[in-house]
Amino acid sequence: MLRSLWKTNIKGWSGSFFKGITFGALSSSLFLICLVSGIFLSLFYDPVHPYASIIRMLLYNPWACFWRNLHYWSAQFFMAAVIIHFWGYLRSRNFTVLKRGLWFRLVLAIVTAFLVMFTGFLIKGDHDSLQASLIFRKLLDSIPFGGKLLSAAILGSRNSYILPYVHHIATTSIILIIVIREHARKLWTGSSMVLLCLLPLAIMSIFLIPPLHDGLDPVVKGPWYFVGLQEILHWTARPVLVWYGILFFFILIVALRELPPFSAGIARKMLLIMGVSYILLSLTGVFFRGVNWQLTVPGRGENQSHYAWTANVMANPAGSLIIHDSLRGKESCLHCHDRFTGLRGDHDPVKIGCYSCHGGNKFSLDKDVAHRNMRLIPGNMADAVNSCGSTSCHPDIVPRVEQSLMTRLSGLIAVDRWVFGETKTPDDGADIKNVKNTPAGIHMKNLCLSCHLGGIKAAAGPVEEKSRGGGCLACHLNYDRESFKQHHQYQKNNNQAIMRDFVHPSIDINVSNDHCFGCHSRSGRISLNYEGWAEILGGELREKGKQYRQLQDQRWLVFVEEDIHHEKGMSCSDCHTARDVMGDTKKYLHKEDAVAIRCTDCHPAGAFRTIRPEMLDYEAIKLRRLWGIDTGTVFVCTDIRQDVLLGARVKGDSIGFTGRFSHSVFPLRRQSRQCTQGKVHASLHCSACHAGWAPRCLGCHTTFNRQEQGVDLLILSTTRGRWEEATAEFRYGLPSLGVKESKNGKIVIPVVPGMIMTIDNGTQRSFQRLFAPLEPHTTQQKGRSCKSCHNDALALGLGEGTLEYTVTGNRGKWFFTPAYIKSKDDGLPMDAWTGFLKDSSGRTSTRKNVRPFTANEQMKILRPGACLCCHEGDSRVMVMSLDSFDKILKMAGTDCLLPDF
Amino acid sequence: MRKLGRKEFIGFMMAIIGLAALWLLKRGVSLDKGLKEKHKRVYCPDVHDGIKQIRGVIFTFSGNRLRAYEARCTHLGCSLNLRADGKIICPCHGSEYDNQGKVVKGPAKDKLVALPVVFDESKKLFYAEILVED
Repeated sequence: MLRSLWKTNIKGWSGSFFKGITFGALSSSLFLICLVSGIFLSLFYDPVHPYASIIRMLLYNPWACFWRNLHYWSAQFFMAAVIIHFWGYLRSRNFTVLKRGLWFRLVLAIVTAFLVMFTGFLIKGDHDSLQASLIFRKLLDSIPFGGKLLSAAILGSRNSYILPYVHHIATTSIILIIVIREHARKLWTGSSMVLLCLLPLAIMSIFLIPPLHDGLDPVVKGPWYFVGLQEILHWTARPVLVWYGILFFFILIVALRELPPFSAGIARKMLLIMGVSYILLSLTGVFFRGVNWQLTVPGRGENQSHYAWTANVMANPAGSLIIHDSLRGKESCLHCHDRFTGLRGDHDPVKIGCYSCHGGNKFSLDKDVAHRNMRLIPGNMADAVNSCGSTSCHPDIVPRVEQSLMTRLSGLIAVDRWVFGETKTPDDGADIKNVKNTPAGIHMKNLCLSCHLGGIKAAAGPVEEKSRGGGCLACHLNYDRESFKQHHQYQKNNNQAIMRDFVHPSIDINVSNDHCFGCHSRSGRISLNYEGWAEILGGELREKGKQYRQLQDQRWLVFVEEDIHHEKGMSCSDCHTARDVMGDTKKYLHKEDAVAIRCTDCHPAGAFRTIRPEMLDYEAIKLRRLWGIDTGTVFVCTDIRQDVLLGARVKGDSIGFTGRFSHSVFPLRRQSRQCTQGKVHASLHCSACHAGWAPRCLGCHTTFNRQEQGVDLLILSTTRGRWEEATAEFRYGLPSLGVKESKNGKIVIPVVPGMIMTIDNGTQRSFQRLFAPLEPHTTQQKGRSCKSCHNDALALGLGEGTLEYTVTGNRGKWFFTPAYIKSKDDGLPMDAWTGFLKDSSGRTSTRKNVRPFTANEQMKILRPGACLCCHEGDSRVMVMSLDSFDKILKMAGTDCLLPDF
Repeated sequence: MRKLGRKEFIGFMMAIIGLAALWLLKRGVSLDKGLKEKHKRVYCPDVHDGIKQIRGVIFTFSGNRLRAYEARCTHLGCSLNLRADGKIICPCHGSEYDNQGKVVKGPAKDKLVALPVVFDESKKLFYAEILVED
């Protein structure tokens, strides 16, 4: 039978059912089906609004949809049959008996067949068609002499589908009818032949809907017979060469009839090689090309969606369905989920529908089909590029978030590897994607790596203390009272969806402190600190009169003192701008590099840095609109990167801050006299004085338990063995100080114990004493006292203990008695960072540019400390010393006893 | 001089008529195109470092200079996409351009078509004009 298919004669057409079937006969039969179904389809198709009319068929009219499917599938098989039939002709050399003119017309008919197919592709009016139309126009324009006339004659105006429609239904179809009639001498192939094609096609048309894409689909591909051409064009800088190729192909085929047998054989082999090459290129294009025509692995999500439009069309009931319109056209989702509220602004389904975020099949009313490949929780980083980050929505933001620290965790990973001795620097620009199963890798997988934006939010529900990951939703998901109530109902009903009167949680820019709390209540614990809570061990004695709180993860907190900005009603997002949090496309190593906000932006010594309305960037304008801020407002911006602080606004001669959520307004003050007075404190960071307190955890012991199985928090799997962490003590109080060196000079900053710990992997034991720079987020209006730095062991990095200035005769001397026993590993007290009046060496901090005070610096600090034993901090002499301590020393009386080091 | 036969004459005349028809068609098409085409102003909402795509125009601001480009690939005219790393990318064949419209990766070889940027005094906004068809 297969052999008979190659036959090119037509004698068998009227024979028995299977006898004498040829690809020629199949082509003609399929063409007839295509013709008739096309005529029927034209009753429902609107060439003025093609995309909308197809959606109308898909949603409301299964019968029209059936004719569309039949038309589409018969056309695809017609094209395939024509190609094979034509190759059969070339192979058998039957064309040599044809007249020269007829052969020429037949070859032209092949071109016409491609044209009828392609115009059919164009008049879908979807995103792929639009791009294909632009490409085809430019290709035609590139033809020398008359190319532009040809493009105008075939495609007409840019925004109109009328001319391609006319060519599809009339010009090309008529040419094909004439040529088929001339070639086969009849059009009707017989009832049995037509029936043979019609039956499987009809069944197929019930179940399979041809693809239709809007701009949300990130993959742009032409029809299957031109994907090979698309691949060729990818490699061709001069598209006009494609015409030369096509012309050569055309001339070769036309000339085949004239060539002697030997040359014809060579020509046929050339055609075969070209054909096979084209098929290979087509396969590459179909299976190995993804977003932006980049090479991709077949089966990845981005590539799958392109050919996944299958649905049971008969499931869509005909009749008077009411489906609400969205700006993206009608979507079947809104038939069942018709009365839901909760989403507002640009995320209102009236504007963007449901498909934009949730995917699935927006053209089917069958529940199973509509929900196939649906994203219940859109916004996870793994698929954010197809939902939140699709071309029509936030394509500029999602790639930024992918590069941001909260997704990559580069600093955390680099430091941990460095501490474990796996790398030579804590600044190696690590990425969470490259964490391997090394000791440090497993350590982080067991203890740290649930806190990153790439973590998958797998179940519906609000962001709470224990929430981790979730991509865009980690910050932008908000449940109000009603949606929260319904969520509980949903859980109670064993996850049975609420279809009608559903209150959807809001997706908005209201990023509250609660969104940050889950991850930022760990490590430096800035979310806790900011609200005034310090972590304590559960078993610690509860004191009367103190306020305690237990978190969802069972950790105990005690209330110490909230940050003044929190007291004033400011939230995290008041200071931390969109670029601070979501990244600005640069790959930063550590968080202090990524954050633009500085205390001096809102509390400058001199003038505020402001930004005029016309200089706002696009993102700030959008946020200003969403916040409902007057368009003429002048804002304060950060010195670094000029991020706009939307809360800090200029009003007349004054500058005030309006809390994002509290709406409380308060004036922004410049630095006080004390901050700018004198030169000796010029190298102090604001928080060195104004941080009210900072958390400290001591005696951390990290051991590797080989016997137990651990949880891999990164990929939610298991690890061989498990790292376990035990903390001896949590403390809080005024932070220790250290020195940060940079190209701008030295600056004194607050530091906390980062990793004072013993790492015991079962075979090897190592001790680490690393402090970490921390912005404690416990700012107080009043700075710490002079004595709290100059006469304090903890501030100097010596650890807790007694620092006494003892005078013997006419000599003064500082003595330090540590509160904690000395470590056997390095001889320092357990909570210390450095030795008393000693220089430190080796690794001291989680950053290469942060170190404890040297012996000389300690002496420099302790000398005024000796003065403070007698003189009050605000005494005249001490205030004068702020300009030059040495000058004061010259004025010192005989009673003044300076320390002898 | 050889006399033209009747058939040859008719063929010759048909060729002349055909060419004339094509010429008329070409004139008509070009006139029609001119009638349909009009300039559309596309305003740039801000002047700030970065890149943005607004209704067929790509605005870039770097080195204190605002530039505007037609958001069409110079290779085959596809609508372009923006990528957060500052690249402008063609979804159809994978060409890439930088924020100054220069080709970073082929197949395209020509720079993006630059559009003149004009300041609208009344709106206090910059704009670029693109040619559209009705």
